[in-house]
Amino acid sequence: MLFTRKKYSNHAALTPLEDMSAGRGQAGGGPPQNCQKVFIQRDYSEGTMVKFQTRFPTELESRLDRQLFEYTINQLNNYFAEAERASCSTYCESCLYCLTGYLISICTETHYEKCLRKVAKFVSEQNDRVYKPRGLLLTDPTTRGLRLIEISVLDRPAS
Amino acid sequence: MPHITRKWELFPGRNRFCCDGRVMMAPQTGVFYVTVCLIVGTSGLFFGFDCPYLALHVTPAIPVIGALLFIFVMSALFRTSFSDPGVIPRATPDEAAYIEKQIEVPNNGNSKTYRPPPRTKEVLIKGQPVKLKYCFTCKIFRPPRASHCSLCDNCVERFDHHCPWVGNCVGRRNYRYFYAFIVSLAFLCVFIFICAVTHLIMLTKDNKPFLEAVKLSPSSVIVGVVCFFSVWSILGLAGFHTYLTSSNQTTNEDIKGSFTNRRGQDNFNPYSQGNICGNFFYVLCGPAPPSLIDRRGIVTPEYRAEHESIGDDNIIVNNKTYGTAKIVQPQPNGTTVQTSPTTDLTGSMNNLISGQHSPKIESINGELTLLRHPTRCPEDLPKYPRQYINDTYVPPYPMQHCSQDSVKHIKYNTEIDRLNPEFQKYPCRCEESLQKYPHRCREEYHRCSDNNIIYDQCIGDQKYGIDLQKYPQRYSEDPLRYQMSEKNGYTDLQKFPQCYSEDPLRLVQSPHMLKYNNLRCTEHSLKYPISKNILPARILGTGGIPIIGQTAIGLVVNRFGSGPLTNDLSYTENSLCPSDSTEEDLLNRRFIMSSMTNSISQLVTNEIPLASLNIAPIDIDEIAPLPPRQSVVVSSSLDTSSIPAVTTPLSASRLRLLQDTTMIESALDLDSLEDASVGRGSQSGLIKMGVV
Repeated sequence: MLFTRKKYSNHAALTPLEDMSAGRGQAGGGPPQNCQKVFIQRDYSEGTMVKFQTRFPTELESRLDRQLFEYTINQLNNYFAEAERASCSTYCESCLYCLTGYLISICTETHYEKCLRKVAKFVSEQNDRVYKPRGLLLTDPTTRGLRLIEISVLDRPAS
Repeated sequence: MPHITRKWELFPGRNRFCCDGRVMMAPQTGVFYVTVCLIVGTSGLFFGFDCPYLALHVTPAIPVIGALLFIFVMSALFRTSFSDPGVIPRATPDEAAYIEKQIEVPNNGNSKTYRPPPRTKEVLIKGQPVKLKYCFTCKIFRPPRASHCSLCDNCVERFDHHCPWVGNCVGRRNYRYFYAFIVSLAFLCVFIFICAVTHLIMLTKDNKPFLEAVKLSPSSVIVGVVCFFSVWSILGLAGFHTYLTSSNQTTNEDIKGSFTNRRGQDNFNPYSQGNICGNFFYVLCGPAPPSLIDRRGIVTPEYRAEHESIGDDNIIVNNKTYGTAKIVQPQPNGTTVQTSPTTDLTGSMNNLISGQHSPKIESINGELTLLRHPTRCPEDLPKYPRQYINDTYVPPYPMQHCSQDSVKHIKYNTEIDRLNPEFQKYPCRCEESLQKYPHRCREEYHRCSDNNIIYDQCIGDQKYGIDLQKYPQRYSEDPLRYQMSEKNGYTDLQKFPQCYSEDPLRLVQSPHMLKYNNLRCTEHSLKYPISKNILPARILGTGGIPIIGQTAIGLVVNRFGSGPLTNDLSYTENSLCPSDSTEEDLLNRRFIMSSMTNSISQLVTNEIPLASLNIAPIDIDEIAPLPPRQSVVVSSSLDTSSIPAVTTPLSASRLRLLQDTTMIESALDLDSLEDASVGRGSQSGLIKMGVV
């Protein structure tokens, strides 16, 4: 609750990083602990850019449609691909940062951070629409260091 | 306003944080201040003394350019030093448990095929195989290009190096700042140097001697000297990093030679963008990844709980994977086990489990307890010989006692599988109940034997050549496993993994191993060759305890035995020197563990205290006739149908022959196999002898 208020309140007083952390927080403060977790690992086949495996975990077979799952993962992958895309605007942005002695980055938000905000929004939207009704909870990969996507099966105890 | 705990306060790494988490630095920052002082001091002298003169006589642009460069250098330096280099947050307990489960090889009950979890994972990046190492501290498989910084105790993404001059790691997030710092500093350095020299030259131009000029502007000399000496290293560093950037490598990868061609023909850098410009732009101006550790986030109770459970989990996981490291450590309080085994053992188990009650871990901890025992016994024996022998061999309970409540003892037996010393204390009880209820016992045993598999394998791997002969490659493949012989194992291992893979000799030198492998009496090795009886593992079982025989009498070890799936571990004893050594010494020396693989009947030998009764060795054939032995199998797999060795007292001459041949040979074999990692190899020699 604190997070959300912070997020929409005095934006200028927050550094981008702080603001980011606000965006990450899931309402209720993260997934519960003692339940079964399914982890979607990173796919490194195309380099170190953030991409998650789209292999459907067997644990979710009874809960979730394969299409829904793949849609979520692909969408997340797209967001991250966009964040990491070496586009012209990214280059210009970085050059601007460099020319100002990296001082301007204190008061602006990078492209990547904007994308992460989108990811956080997408995750919470997917949670509300798809995952929570099925007793699942998607965790924003940013809170897990972009290493994996954690899907908690809320009503199954930890194995 | 109450104090808000932020996440940096609970950060598990060793970094220093300032300004409520906004600034993040390495733990040691002394050199960083030196850097700052050097730059600021030199530039200050330059701006204070050289600039006014040059601005007046040459051009006012000089102080402007100097100031811009200086500001850029300082901001890049502070940006590098104070920002997160790209620390990868550590795994949550759930994730760590998941990874542990994933890398655990399914144990199908066949102890010979059990392998401890591999600690590397290979992924293909654009067709190039890249090994991901498991980070024992962070409990994750490090992403490609990441490395663990031992100084900051973090895994850092695209780790370049730890730079004490900037007081931080250089990684994915701050490499561009670092590069900007290096390059701009090189420019600044050259600029100041040129200006200082120009100043001096202009002073000498007015027909003054050079010394006069030095007297007029001593600061120029100081500035010039400082710049002259630093400019070379800075230029070199800038050039080196320009090269690295152009090929999209890190210093770490360059040092390791990850992408050099000598490793293989088609070895290329999979992260490269293809051309130099692309690499430059991508590294320096590419998308800026955000910090993943959320230093300024507010700690919620959930986060705190999770964090604290990581601390707990540490103990478990460490014991689970490295628990064997503990085994080789001497146990100072060995007596407690002998006198009150229950309390001690349960205590230690509780320590190991610490809140988590998964049966798997429990069983492993049980094995650890079991494992610890053999190392302890021989050490403590000299100290408490009497006590030990009495406890072990004189049945504290009369026989008939057992038969009355034997059902209870069956349960007890299963406990014994795990808590070995207890069993030793009451061998007769167990034997008795087993005889009465062989079937049930066997069932129980099978159940327990699954637990023993890892134990067997550990012992085997750690100490004996048998397994080595079978799986020589395993040792070279899995250098990480050598932490067994390292006392403070895994942190070192993690920091210097290559030491272990390159230097197998280092791994073997556990004093315990050598001690127990010493089967010969050092003084009488040839005069009184070893006569030993190795009982079939089936008969001996895990809980066996040697008995001293004053003459060349073997021992018989207790314990019910049938576990067709396992290779049991038996302690066998041989009598070596009849006279000179004391009993304690003998015992100390002659704990032999032999790993044998058999599949036969369920023989039950009742243990008889040979030492105290001074009777002849028990011939297993008498108790339960076995088919004649067919082959000498040292390295037979579990499911072979080889017949167990039978207690056969060997004659001295024959033994000598064996010793001269088999033993030495095997020792040589083993040495050549894996640099004497079996101690002297005498173990396998004895096993061979035992089955001849």
